[in-house]
Amino acid sequence: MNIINAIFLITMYPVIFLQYYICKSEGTVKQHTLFGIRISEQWLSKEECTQFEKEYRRKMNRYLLILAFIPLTALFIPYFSISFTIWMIWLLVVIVLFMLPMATGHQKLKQLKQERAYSEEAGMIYAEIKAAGTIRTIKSWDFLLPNLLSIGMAIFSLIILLDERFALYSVLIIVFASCTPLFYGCAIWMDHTGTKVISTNSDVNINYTRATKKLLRTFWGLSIWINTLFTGIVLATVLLKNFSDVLVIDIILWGSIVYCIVILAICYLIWRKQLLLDKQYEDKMDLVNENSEQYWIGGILYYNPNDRRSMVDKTMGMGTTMNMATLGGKVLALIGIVSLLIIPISCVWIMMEEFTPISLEITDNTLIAEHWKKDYEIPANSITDVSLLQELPRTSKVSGTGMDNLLKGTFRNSADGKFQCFLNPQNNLFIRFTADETLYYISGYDDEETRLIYKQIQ
Amino acid sequence: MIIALNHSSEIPIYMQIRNQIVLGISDGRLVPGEQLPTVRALADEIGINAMTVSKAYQILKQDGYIYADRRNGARVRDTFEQQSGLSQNHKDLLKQIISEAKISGLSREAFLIECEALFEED
Repeated sequence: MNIINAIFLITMYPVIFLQYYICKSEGTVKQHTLFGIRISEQWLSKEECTQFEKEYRRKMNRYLLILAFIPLTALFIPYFSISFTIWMIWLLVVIVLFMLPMATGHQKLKQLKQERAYSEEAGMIYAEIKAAGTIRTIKSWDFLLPNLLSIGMAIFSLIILLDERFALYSVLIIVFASCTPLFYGCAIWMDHTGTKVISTNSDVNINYTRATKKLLRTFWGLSIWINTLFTGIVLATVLLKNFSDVLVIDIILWGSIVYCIVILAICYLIWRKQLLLDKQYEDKMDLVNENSEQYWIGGILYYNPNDRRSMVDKTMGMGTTMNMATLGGKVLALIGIVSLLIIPISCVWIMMEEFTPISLEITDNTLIAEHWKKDYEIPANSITDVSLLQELPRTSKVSGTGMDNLLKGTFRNSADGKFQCFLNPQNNLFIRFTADETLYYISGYDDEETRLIYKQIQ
Repeated sequence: MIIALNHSSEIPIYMQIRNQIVLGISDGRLVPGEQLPTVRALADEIGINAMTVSKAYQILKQDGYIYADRRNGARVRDTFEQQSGLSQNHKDLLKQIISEAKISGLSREAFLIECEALFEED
C-alpha cells in the first residue's frame, strides 16, 4: 500500500460510515416525521411506517456492504491515476447512493399523502414574529482573535512569497488562512437563519432555535480555531531556522490527515448532539411547516420561488441548505455542478499524464519534448553545459506533475535552485543542460532514447 | 407569537400579516406597547419582500393598531380608538358572512352562538 492510498484510506474511508449513520437515522419516525414528511396515524398506520423503515434499512445495509468493499481494491493497484479515480468516483457514489433511498422514500410518502388526500392546513407557512431577527449566538467580536491571526499570517505569507524558497508554501498558507474568515462567514450566515417553528408555543420555538444555533456555533468555532492552529503550525515549520522541504511536506501531509479526521469527528459529535436535542423536544413539536413539503425535491433540494430566503433549514439531517429558486441557490448549484464535473475530468487528465509515455526527438535543429502535447521546443544551438547523469538529485516540485513515472514542470533543489524537468524518474540516465539561461533535467522514453538524444545535442 | 401565512390564498400576503397582527392584539398575544420586529427582520424571517411587510405595517398604522417612529421601530398602541358600533366596512363584511350562513341553512340562534364563541375566544 503506497502513501497516497494510505492517506485516502485514513481521510476518505470513514466518510462511508459517517454518511451511512447520518442517512440511516432519517429512516425512522422522528418528531412525527419520516423522510422529511410530516405523518400521522390518521393516514399512515404504524405497520406501514415499519414497512417503510424496514425497506429503507435493507437498502442502506446492502449499499454499505457493496460500497465498503470497492475502495479496498484501490489498495492493490500500483497506478496512482487508477487508485485516485477509484477513490474519487467511490466518494461521489457514497454521497449520492446513500441519499437515493432517502429521496425515493420522501417522494413515495409525498405521493401517498396526495393519493390519500391527507393534508393538515396545506399551504400554510408559520413564522415566529416575536423573536424575528433576535436569536443570534455569534457576536460581531466573536472569533476576532483567530480571524486576526489568520489574516496576519496571510499577509505575512504574501510578504515572504517574494522569496522563491517559500513561494509554494506561502500560497498554501494563504489558502489555509483564508479558510478562517470563510468559516466565520458561514457561521454568521447560518446564525442569521430564521426561528424554527416546531411548536405553537413561542418559548419552545425560541429555545429550540437558540440551542440548535449554539451547536452550529460550536462546530464553526472549533473549525475556525483548528484551521488557525493548523495554518500557524505550517507557517512556523516554514520559518524554522533549519527549513527543510521534507519536514514542511510531512507537516502539511500528516497535518491535513489529522485535520480531516478531527473535523469529521466534530461533525459526528455535533450531529449526535442535534439528535439528542431533537429527542428532548420531540413531545413539544406540534407544528410543522406543512406547505414546505411541496417545495422539496426528494427532500434534499429546496425550490420555492415564493420564499426569498436563500438559506433554509434542511428537511432531513441537520444544518441548512440553499433555496434553488434564489440567485444564491442557482450560483451555488452551478458551482456544485462544475465541482462535480472537475472530479471525472481531473481523473481522465491524471490518467493521461500517467499512461502517456514521454518522448524526445530532434527535428529541424530543435529539441522537442513531447508528452500528449509538445511541452518544450528548445533550439539545439542554444543548448550548453550538457552532461549525462546516472542519478537524479533530490528535488521538490514548485509546479507541474510529480508522479512515480513522471516529473514534468518547474522543480527546485538546494544546489541548482529552480529548473525545468521533463523526465521519467524510473529511468537510469538523465540529461542536464542549460538553454537561454534556464536549467533543464530531461530524459527520453527509455535510457536508449536518452543516450541517443545526448549524443545528438552534445 | 406565531403567524400563519398562506402563499396560495387569494388574500394578499400584506393583508394576511395585517390580519394576523390584529388577531394577536385582540387575543392578547401582543400586548399594548409591545415592540414589533423591524420590517427587514420580519421580511427575512418569513422569506418575503420587505416592501410587503412595510405595506402591512403602514395599514396597521393607518388603522390605529400600531405606531412607529424612526428610533423605536413599530410598537402596538397602548390605547385603541373605542367605537360604539361597527364601521361601514365591517358591516359590509358581516353582511356578506350572514348571507352565506343563511344560504347554507344556518339558523339565527346557531349563528349567534358561533359569533359569541368566537367573540369569547378572542
